[in-house]
Amino acid sequence: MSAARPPWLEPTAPWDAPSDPSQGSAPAVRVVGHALSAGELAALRAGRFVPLYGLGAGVDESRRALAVIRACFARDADPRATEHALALLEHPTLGASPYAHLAGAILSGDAPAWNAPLVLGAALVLGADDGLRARVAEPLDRVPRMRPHCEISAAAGGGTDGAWRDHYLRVCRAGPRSAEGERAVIRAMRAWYECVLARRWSGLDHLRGSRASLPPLGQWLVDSARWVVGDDDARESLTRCTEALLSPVHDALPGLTALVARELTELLSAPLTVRWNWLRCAASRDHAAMAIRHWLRAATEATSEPEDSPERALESLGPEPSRAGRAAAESSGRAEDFILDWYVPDRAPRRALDAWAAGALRLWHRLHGAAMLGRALESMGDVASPGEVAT
Amino acid sequence: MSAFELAVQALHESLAGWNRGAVPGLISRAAVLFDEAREQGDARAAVGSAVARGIAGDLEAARRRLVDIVAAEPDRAAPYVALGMLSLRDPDPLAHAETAVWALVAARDLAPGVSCIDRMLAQALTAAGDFMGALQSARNALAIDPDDDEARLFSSMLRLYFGGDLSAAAMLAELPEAVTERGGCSAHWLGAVAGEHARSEFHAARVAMRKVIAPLKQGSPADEPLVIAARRWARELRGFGPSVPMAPDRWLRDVGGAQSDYVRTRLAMSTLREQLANAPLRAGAEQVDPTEVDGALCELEARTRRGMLEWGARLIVRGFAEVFLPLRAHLEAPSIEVLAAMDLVVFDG
Repeated sequence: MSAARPPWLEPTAPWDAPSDPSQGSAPAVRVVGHALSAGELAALRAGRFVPLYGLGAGVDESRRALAVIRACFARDADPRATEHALALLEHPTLGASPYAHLAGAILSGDAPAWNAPLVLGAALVLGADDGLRARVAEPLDRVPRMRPHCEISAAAGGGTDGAWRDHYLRVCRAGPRSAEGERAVIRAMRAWYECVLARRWSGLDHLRGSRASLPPLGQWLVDSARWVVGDDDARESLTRCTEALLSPVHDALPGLTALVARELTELLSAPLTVRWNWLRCAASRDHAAMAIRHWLRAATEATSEPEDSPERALESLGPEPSRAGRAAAESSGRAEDFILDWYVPDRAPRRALDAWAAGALRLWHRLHGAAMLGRALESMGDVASPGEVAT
Repeated sequence: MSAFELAVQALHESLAGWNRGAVPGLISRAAVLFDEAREQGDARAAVGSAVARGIAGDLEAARRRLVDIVAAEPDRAAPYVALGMLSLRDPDPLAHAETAVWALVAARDLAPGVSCIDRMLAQALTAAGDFMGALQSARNALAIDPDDDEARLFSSMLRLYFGGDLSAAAMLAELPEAVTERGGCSAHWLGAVAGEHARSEFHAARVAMRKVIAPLKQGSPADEPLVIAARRWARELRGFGPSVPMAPDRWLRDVGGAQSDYVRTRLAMSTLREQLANAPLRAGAEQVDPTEVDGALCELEARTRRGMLEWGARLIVRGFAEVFLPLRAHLEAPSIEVLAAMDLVVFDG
């Protein structure tokens, strides 16, 4: 298999373009992980670096991507390596074009399919923020088996800039093209949003009911929600799920295990505080507004009236409420409903819980990335064996 | 007789013969005569001209004229009263409630102590959803004129569904009988529907509903929307249930039952409270204070109970204004005291 040469390499690749002499003349950065020199750092910041898959969808680029991830999560990795690796995910001139090119190569059979989970897994384990994660995931959405992973990676978020409502809406819309089994995790994510961020008990009921049928990634979501509301065995289940998700990459990326363990410990460090904040937010919701919807539903339900009653004629009325009823029960859609429940006037617990939810989602994406990398490593075979990567 | 006096006479005659509207020929004549009087320089006639057109059916143009008059003569109460009155006589009073409130607040400031202005302000505030203000205005109107039936009707509705005072239901149930004896229209029976329903007197509520719609003709294009609106409101009242939200017997049902978020949140908070009491060291380490949980529990209940009344009023009392005001405007002419507040009377003494 030989992938077509990317168009941006002709006549001059963007990272080889003549640059400002004051920024030094170091060659374009290809691999990170070691302590970068001042010249390399300047080159990285000036866009003189080769983004992942910037040279095409060939095996060398797959090896380079893997080398970058390994360098970030080696036992003695440079602490700034992750930040530098995140920079390599997106070139300022090319944007996400290398991933669109990669998706095209996979679809045409010019590149092996495991490249897609490798690159999306890299973005996820590195902890890309909402925007970058979506920009990497969206071009890869064209690869059929990647669809549910790309959809959930792009949709689940909101902690970076507090856009919970928009991300909830995207989660609600995700999944129609995916298979039933794959949709279960997307549904669990939606219920997780409803439980943790909108403080609806129905979300928790859905999560608890579906746990047995979910893969470990979905079970992790269930257990994190159960932990928030104070279920006794949730912490233990959460740890078990995390171990199961990390086991495929434990040997290849030991630093990732340490990082995830640190983040998980941080996440679970104050169970009473998180639970108390969640309950304060749940108590601050407008329960009376929910009741009015209940009343209006009761009003439009058919009831049996005596034959001679003038209300008998009510049954011929349409289901639409009066203008006052409409105004009293108004909420213009699912996302507005969500935001009404999320936006409680008690600010301090809401902010604390938002921060907790952002941390939980970041960790979940890392675990999702680890699961994908595990699958990619398994499929790569010999290509995955550490070798010489040109720097 | 001046043109203004002739116009007022024609207006009163047209209203005296009210039958789902003013007498068409007379109200047109009144409008023309008011125009003549205005050309002769009578400032009161401009309001009369707009009111005559509004009563004849051209509410939009009449309100536009009144807004212009208000801009030209901001210190006279009459145009404000007229603007408020015509806004409340609109088939969709909720849409014009804010305008009516603005105009009637100004009118009340310019002409304090006029019962009908306070009463109309109570109706406008109810339609706008400002229930506390509406209750105060209704009480002001009753303080000036204790026999003001409409002010009593609105005051009782607000006391029952906004204040949670079930004793107001008896007043609502008894009031229409007396109003009808004094020649009031059937719209007042809507109050009895609300009162009897709150007292769980469902048969009496059905009888009252029959009395509301009795004068309206089935199939008439003018009457049909009013009947539908009244029935729709009655349906929502029925869904709301008898009694008031504060009553213990309906509290659990109102908040959605034992599986509702309110009940489960309350239960979870009580459980947390117990756990904190059993593990004080851990609670102290995480800085979660059991007394704060107690406070939040009380706050949750108090806010939800108050919220129930607020939402109940938005649904039932505002819905009542939505039905009552057009129905009364359809069946009843503006009263003589409202015409007097608009300076559309002639003193013969």
